[in-house]
Amino acid sequence: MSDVDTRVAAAERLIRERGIPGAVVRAAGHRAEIAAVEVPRDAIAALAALAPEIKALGFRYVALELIPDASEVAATVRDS
Amino acid sequence: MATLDEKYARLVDILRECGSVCIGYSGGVDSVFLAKVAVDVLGRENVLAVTGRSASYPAVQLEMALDCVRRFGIPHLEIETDEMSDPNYIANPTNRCYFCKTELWSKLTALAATRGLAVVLDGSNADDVGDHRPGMRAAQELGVRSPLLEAGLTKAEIRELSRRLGLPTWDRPASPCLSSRLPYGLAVTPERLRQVEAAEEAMRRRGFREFRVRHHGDAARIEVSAPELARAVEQADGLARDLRDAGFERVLLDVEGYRRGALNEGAPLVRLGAAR
Repeated sequence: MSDVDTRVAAAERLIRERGIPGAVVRAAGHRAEIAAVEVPRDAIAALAALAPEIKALGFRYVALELIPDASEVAATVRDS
Repeated sequence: MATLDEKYARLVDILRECGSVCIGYSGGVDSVFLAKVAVDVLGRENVLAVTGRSASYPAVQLEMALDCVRRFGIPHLEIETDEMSDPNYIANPTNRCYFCKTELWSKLTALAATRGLAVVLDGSNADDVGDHRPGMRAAQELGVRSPLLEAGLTKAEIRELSRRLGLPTWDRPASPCLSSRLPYGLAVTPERLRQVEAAEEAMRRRGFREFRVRHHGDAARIEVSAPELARAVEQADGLARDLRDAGFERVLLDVEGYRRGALNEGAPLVRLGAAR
């Protein structure tokens, strides 16, 4: 889904440019409306400050991923 | 502008006008307050508080409802409501509440007639007027009155009056039905409601007070109030474990925290039949 990929890449770039390295973003939820972000948990306040800009890229919500491995599995299953 | 005492006096007058009442009683802040005042004003013989039970009604809410019934001598009845067999409700359109409340108020209207109770009441308050509340339309269509709203009482004022009356609900967080945790268009199923209830019970056991677990298909999105966000991060591994046990593949913590109505922020209208 190229539309989703565009949002994800833009969100990762934005987060990186604002000083949070290594962020991984995935589109989550039954309508892919959540930016599910993997960053160190102590970066949540910085991520919250970026939420309006991330939402402006086309997401409705911005959330911290709490089960990174599980999300990989879920994404793999869906893509296969 | 009316004072709080004047609004309370107006509420008492409205209840006296009604004479005898059948109250939709969820056990939340508004309906507990309304039932207590109704009993005080009209006497137990002229009041019946009715709780409509279904898969969307959380067990923890019933506990609070029954606790208040026992403590304050509120005449009470539980009935089963059947909104889960209504395809219009299951489809979870933006006016989902209309179908649920039509079921509830139809049953209460019939019950009131059988019991000889003059008026059916709900716990809508003055703050509900500007909100998206399709359930209020169902109440109006079935002649249900809203004395708290008619008296001009806001939620904050009802909490203050509840505190004065010694009601344990005065500072309880708002507690809408479990279906409100599913975004419009995602079908309401008993399994999804069970997942949400189990997940929120786990949050409660961990001491969280004001929060929601939003159901987004395979993902749970947790919203906690701002003061509790840091603690949620500290307990992230445990939360993830608990919510995975509740049946979610993915567990997400919303970085903006709990806000009322957040599930449908900017959501488009969903027509009937669009649910998955």
